[in-house]
Amino acid sequence: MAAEQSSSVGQVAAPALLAPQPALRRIPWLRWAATLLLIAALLIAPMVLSEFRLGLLARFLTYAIVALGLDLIWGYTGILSLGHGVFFGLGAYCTAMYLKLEATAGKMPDFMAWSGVDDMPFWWKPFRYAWFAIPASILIPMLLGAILGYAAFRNRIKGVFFSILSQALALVMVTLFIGQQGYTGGTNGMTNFKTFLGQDLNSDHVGHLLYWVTAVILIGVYFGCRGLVNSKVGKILVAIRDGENRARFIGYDPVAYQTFVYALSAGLAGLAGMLFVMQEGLITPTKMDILMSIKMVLWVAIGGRATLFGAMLGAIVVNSGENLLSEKYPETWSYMLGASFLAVVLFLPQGIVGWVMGIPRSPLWKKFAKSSEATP
Amino acid sequence: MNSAALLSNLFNSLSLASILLLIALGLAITFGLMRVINMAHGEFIMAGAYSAYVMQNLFGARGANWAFLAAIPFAFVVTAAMGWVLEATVIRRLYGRPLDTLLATWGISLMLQQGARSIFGPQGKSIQAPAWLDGTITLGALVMPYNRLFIMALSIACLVGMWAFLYRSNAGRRIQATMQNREMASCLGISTRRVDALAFSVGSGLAGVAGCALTLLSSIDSNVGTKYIVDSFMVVVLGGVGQLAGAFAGAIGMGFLNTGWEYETTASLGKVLTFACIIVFLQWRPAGIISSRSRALD
Amino acid sequence: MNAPTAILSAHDITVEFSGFKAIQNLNFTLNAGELRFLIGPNGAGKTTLLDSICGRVKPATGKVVFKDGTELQRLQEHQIVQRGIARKFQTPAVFGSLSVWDNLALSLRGPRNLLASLRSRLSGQQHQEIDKWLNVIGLQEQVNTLAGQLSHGQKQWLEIGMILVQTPDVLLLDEPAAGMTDHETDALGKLLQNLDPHQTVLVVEHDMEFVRRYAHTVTVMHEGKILCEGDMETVQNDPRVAEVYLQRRVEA
Repeated sequence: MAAEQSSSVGQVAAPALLAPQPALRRIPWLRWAATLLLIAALLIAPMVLSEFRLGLLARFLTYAIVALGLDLIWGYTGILSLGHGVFFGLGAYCTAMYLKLEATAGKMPDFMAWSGVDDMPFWWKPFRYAWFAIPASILIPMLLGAILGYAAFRNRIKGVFFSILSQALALVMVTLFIGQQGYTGGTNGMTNFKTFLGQDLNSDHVGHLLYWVTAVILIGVYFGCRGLVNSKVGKILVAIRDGENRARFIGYDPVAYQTFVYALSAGLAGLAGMLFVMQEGLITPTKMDILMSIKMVLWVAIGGRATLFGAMLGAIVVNSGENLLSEKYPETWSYMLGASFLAVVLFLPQGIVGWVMGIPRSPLWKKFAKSSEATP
Repeated sequence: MNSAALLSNLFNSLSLASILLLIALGLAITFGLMRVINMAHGEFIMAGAYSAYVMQNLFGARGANWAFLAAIPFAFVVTAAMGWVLEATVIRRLYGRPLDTLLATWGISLMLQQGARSIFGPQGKSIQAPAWLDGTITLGALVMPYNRLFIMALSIACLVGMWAFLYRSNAGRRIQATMQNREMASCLGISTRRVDALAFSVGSGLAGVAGCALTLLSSIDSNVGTKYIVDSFMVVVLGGVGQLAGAFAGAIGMGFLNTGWEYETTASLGKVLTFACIIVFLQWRPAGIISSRSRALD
Repeated sequence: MNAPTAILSAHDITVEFSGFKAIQNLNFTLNAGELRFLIGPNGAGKTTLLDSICGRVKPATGKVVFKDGTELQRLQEHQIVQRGIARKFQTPAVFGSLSVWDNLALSLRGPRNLLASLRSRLSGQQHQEIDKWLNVIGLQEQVNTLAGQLSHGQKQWLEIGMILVQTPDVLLLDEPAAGMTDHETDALGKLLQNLDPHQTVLVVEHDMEFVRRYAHTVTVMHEGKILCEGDMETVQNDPRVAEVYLQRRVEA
């Protein structure tokens, strides 16, 4: 009785997440072609885009890094995190503290004085140094992810329960960051940065450089994630997604793998936050709140979960779209955002990439392929 | 802490707990029983609150005393109808895909918020509380506002009503049977589709009642739902899913934790500590305060 | 033959589900290298006994001892598997979005920790190993098929294959022949008989014909206890067994 009950529960959830892998195998060149196309587009962008647009694109590329990490934990491991903004924000704040202290030459930042803080707290002090702040931007989110993930996965808190906890994390962190104004800058966050490693952040030259750095890191992260997904660990993650208990009964401890991926994806979000804040020149708690976190999920969902290329593409496409549409139609933008959630879940559960990959299986394409084969 | 502070903290805890209970009761049905995660639940609360506002406008200034009483059943009907529509159009198509349901309903919640902004404007609307809820009872150092006491009474009434509905009425028994064993219930001639629709409507209707109650405490805007939704989900997670007793225990737990920590520290730090306490508590009891040991492992 | 040595033994275990005792003060021993069948009417506690061996349920009292004294009830499921006890469930559980090959490759005996998995590459020998078992379970053709797209019977075989590639010391099989054709059932029986002589097999089975043909020793469970144990003939002639099964037939 027990076996039947649990297995039926496990099987219900599976079909929704069926990875579009078989289609991918059928057209292997498509993935390479798409990747090369993307790299080409990234190379051309600086030549055709204005400084302003290029800066926007660079920011979207940092979002793409978040999306890759989120896809690892959601698309491949089946754990939906609704609090990834927190890790992005933590990474950004760590770097922002460094940028702030470089701007004030190590003196106490102005916002602290406004909030009635007399002395810079001790934990701010190490952020004076890039060799501390930069690794911390990645490691602190990772550490928080590892602790929270381990605490949850160890107790087999998963599915929607984990999603709710991760959402609560976002709520709590935002409340904390707003409440502790003297140490975080509150609602206004941190801004007025000047230089990074002595380079003027507002110069076009540094803007270009940051674009290239972000693009190279993104491509590196993409290939790294792809290596992971195609490795044995990637297979184990999918196995855990398909049947956590079954994975246990061939000897794998899902907790270790889930915690690893969650921490890794938190670290990637932190890395993205670090790159983001250097370009944006501002970080506020809205970049880590529930809305931001759930938007991140939307990028992956629209692009195509469980395909890394889709996650990356989704982040760039959705944000470009948001940028264009929310400028023109600020009123209706919320409707469009909400409707796109609904539409992608109901009609396009595999996202753009899943849909494209599905084309070879559609009757129309088969007909087309047959006719082109028949006429040599 | 002296005895006066202790008493007032006790009262505040119970007051917060009663609000959380009122909000979480609906979730105890839609999420706890049906395992449907409805992120638009917060916007149903919002709709309930705006229902009270609409009622007030309908009754005019002289009818304020009656408007609020009329608003409670009205809000229930409005949000139950919204719930019914949501179930029939979206949720029904997503049973067995909990994470997708979450995303879809979150999209709905965004649209409802924007809808409220379009209809009622971005400014907060305040609802005039009926005159008979003005005033306080003073017991020594303890001051208890009528409106808080009213919310406590309302949430207890809803809890008892829900209990009677679920465990004593035929419709409630059908809901229980369906949620426990869908195939079997369907074999017994229960229309599980109708049961789903009914259960979801009732759960959504409760959100409307909660929304009405919230108008007694503060002005309302389109964000009123988001303020409470995460907390109320945490109530269900902390209390344990599947039983009303879980929602009750969770609400009491959250109420005391939050009020206690906020008193000891600050509002923002209090939230962090409450969250940390819940995580620690789940290490010890992963299934929440009230958990039924089932044979199924997952 | 040497005197049989116990590889797995349950001592006085009781398993409770909210007051209901699925297993009561049960003692049970499995000898190294044997092929044992576990039978009994529905609700006798057969699956629960398997569950408490492999860590899926924790007995309220008693202990389960493996080999030279490891107490299994103290370990987590994956630790028990790593020690060499593999389990096949009633309903076939395979990884639906992985290929048949990947399903087997993940199951191969070897270290299971994260670091080892990060570095792992399949060796040529391991390739041969998987090919060998693919032949045995007859899924060579489907090697690149996603497991989720296999038929029920093929999933059964795949799961059996996933257990065999682990080369476990003890195999716990819950109704492996369910849904198989007579021909397949035969193949399965022969396979189980011809396993490495060091491997011990415990099979829960309802198909009496299957049990009769391949069982050496049969254990009969009833109402959470062991009713009797012995070769097929002894068990069949035991009046208590007849009563238990007869009673069920009358009820039905």
